[in-house]
Amino acid sequence: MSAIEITNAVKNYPEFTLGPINMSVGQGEFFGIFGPPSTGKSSILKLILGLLQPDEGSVTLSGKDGAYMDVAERDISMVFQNLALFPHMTGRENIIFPLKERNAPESEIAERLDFVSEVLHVSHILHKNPAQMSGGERQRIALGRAFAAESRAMLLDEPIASLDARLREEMRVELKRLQRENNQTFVYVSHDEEEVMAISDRVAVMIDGMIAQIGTPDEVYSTPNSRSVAEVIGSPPMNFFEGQFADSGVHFNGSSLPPIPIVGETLKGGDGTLGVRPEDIWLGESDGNPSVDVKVSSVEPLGSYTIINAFLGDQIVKIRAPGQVILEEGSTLRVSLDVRNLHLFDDAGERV
Amino acid sequence: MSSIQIQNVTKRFGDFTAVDEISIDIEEGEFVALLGPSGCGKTTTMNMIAGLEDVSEGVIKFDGQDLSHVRMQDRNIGFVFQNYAIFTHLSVYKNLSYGLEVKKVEKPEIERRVKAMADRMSISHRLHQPAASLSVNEMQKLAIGRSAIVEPRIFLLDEPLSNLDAGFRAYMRAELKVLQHEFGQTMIYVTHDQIEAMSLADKIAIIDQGKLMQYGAPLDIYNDPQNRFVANFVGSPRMNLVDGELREEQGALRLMLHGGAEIPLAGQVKADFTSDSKVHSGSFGIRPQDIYFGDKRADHDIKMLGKVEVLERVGPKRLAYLQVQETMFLAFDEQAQLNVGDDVPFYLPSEASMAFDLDSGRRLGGQ
Amino acid sequence: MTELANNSKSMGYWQRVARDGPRMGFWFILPTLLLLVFIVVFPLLMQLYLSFTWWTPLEGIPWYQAWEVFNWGENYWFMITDPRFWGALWRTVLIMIIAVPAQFFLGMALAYLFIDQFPGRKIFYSIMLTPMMIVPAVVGLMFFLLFQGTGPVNDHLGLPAEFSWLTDVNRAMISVIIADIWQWTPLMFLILLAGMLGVPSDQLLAAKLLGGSNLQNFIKIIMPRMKTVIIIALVLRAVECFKIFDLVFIMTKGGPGVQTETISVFLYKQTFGELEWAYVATIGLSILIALSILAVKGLSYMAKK
Repeated sequence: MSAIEITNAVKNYPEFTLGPINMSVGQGEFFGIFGPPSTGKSSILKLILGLLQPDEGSVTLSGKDGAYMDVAERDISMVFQNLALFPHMTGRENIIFPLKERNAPESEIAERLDFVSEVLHVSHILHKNPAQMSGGERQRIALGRAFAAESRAMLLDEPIASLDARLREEMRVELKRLQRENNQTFVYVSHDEEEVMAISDRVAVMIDGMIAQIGTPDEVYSTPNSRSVAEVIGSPPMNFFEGQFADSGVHFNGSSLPPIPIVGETLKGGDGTLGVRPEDIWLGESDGNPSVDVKVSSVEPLGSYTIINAFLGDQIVKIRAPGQVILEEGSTLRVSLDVRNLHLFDDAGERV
Repeated sequence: MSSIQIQNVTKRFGDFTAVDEISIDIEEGEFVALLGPSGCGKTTTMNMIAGLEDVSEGVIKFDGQDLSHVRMQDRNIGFVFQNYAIFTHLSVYKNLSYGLEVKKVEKPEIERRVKAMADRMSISHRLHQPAASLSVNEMQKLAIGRSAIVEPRIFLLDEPLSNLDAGFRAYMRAELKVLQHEFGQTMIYVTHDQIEAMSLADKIAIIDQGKLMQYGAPLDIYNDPQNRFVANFVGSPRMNLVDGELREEQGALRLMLHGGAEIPLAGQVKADFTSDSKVHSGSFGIRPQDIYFGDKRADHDIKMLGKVEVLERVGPKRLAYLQVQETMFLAFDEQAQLNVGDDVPFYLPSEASMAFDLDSGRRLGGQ
Repeated sequence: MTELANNSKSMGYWQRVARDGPRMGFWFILPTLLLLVFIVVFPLLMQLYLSFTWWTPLEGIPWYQAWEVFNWGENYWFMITDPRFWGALWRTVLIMIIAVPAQFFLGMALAYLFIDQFPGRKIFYSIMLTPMMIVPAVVGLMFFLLFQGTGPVNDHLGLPAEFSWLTDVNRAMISVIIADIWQWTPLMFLILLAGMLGVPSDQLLAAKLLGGSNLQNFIKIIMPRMKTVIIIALVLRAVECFKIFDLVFIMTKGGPGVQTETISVFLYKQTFGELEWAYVATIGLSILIALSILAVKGLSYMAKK
């Protein structure tokens, strides 16, 4: 039985409809929800938590229908985007708050507090007020509070969005470790694609209020089922070329590209889009791969790899090359496309 | 277009020293990033260049000319605020024309230039709409256009991409680069995101707690960090930096890590650590992409044994977190053959490793 | 993030009332609502009723029997042809037209000085506000004493005691206007300063960096954002100024003769002197209607912008 199950849930807003949403989170799973801002990700968390009731469909928790459970009964913890720490309480009081609310015995409170502060490395700041803490410390206290009472599941709404890049990376590892050690069910919402992909066991990609694809990060990355998903997963984003499928089904003819040989079955004829990830465009010629000349526009040296922005005809193409590559602006570069990693979409945007 | 000389500039707020004797030389037309964690003093430094703050000590010059008595209105600087500071009560057109209007430029000229800039920034279709109705992305373009239209000699940008969503940020990075080349201005860019700094800047000034840590071209800083802070801050994913005490036993030099493990030093990195006899605590640095698995490749490469704790997908790559007692090493799982829980041997190539003095943070050895 | 259960309303407001009865909040405000009706609506109706009669308390009949002296609106005709009424009206308008703009510009200039920090700002701020906190009657008395022929004003200006401020027709008006400006500029100052400080400071900085001088920024950035505040301040003060009473009555009693009589003073004399209460009702109602129309026009102008 899954920990959280959402079946055909729909929520109507004046300008926007959320759903139907179908989603199932297993016990002990780290489930990520990714989507651009304002697409309903936070609303899904509220549906799970019980702050919102669905207009249609249902939310089931460990087999029990959420329509008959109010928020407190559902036994779900949440970490909010703005943390919502109690400003007049110390770190310690914040963390043990849920336990006190449930009238837990003193010994249990002490035990949980010890455990939580140990894992999150906050023992040395328990006596401080939130105002005296740094952003990262506040984050950990908020996590500690959500963690203190062993709840059925933890919901996190962009909990580390406001931190520095470096701190975010560190917190990611902490969160993952926390989750695994406790075998807790986590539902993690973020608009940062890299973050969600790095940290989740499975990911749901939300576009325009609907779930476009659910799968492991690997699945979603290497086989996006539609152009919209392919557009938002991957940094830098996938390159797209419009064109037609040859009638024979053996080639794709894209603008400015040579005929691209297609491996395996595909559409015969019709319009479509070819998607190629920046790392699947290689410098120089390579056996069995079609190659083309591009004109270098700019080069972004990122240390362990380099992003090259180049013109193919009128279009800008992004190429990810390993290591440090020095190129002159305006120079011509020959690149080849890895035929084994092409993504083809029909004119409706569906994967072929 | 101006060159900028920042000479021993210090800024104090009461007892607190926000900026501590920073000196940077910026050439005409250069794109310089001020990079550092929140609160490091980078924004304060930029505010001083703009004239928003006074300098406590030291001097800032444009083209050799001392600015101490020049008001911010008269410095002819383009400034893009982090939250854009768009004139929300005016239309997009009026926002763009403001800088020209206050200079009493003629109406037809204003119209021509506003239209051209709106085209350039792809917001022509919004020209007569209230600026408050724009999306965040459009607002950012408007903020840039508004400053650029008066053709300032210097352009200052305060974390301009931090409010944008990830997809648009990648796009704007490329756009900014193109813009800077077109306008040819000297640009100074404040950010805490080292990816942005690396991809955009000609030179990066890394600042921590008010002090300048290193100033140079992105790849120079990446390949040759002068201190531990820089090595830790620049590079994605971050460099492995493990700290410990140096101990010599029977001719062999080991780094006893604080987490309990130890690294037997050899080759170039051993020479680096021994180059300064006063150093007792050190930091061992190795980039994730340099760690390898399988067979030993060079004599002096250091073998370690670790347990795979976490596997993360980062773009097209898989990142493995290897636990050695209490210490964690990051490495790339190129062949995708690791599983969580595996005990694997891995190698640290001594040529690619870096040595740092833990007390001062200074780089030992190096080119 | 604090959004609670979000139930969309799909039926009309009255349909829901018909179905469920009025909401709980309605019952809580009902007592106050009734009180409001009693205090405001009832007297208005009474006033309307009386304005169509000849009734005065001297008639000997209780007011609700005033229909016995019904006069079909002759009061209104009388008002329109009454030179004393028009004189009072004109004078009131004159005071308003001079005093309110003067207060406005003075208040605006002072507020401008207070935007940025300067040493002693807090103290000066408190001092600035004191005039409007003094009881208007006391202010009236203050200026009455100041403007005496043998008073401090004449002393400092080196004018002889015969140079009268309060008994000369024109100079009496000037004295009253000066007193009003003195008392009420602080209010303008307060409201306008609040409006100015409401302008986001980073937008001001951005304007400065674009090369705008302080004056240019003030006109183009600060002023437009203050439209609402300015209109509120002007409408508020204009309506209040129209009702000016304490200052005039205490300083000149409307004299010499009726030369400085404003509407309020005129009405006061009619009520307590002549006891022509029906006539007073007539004028009062007419003024109320006229002012209301003006105020609404002013406010809707603001809503449009």
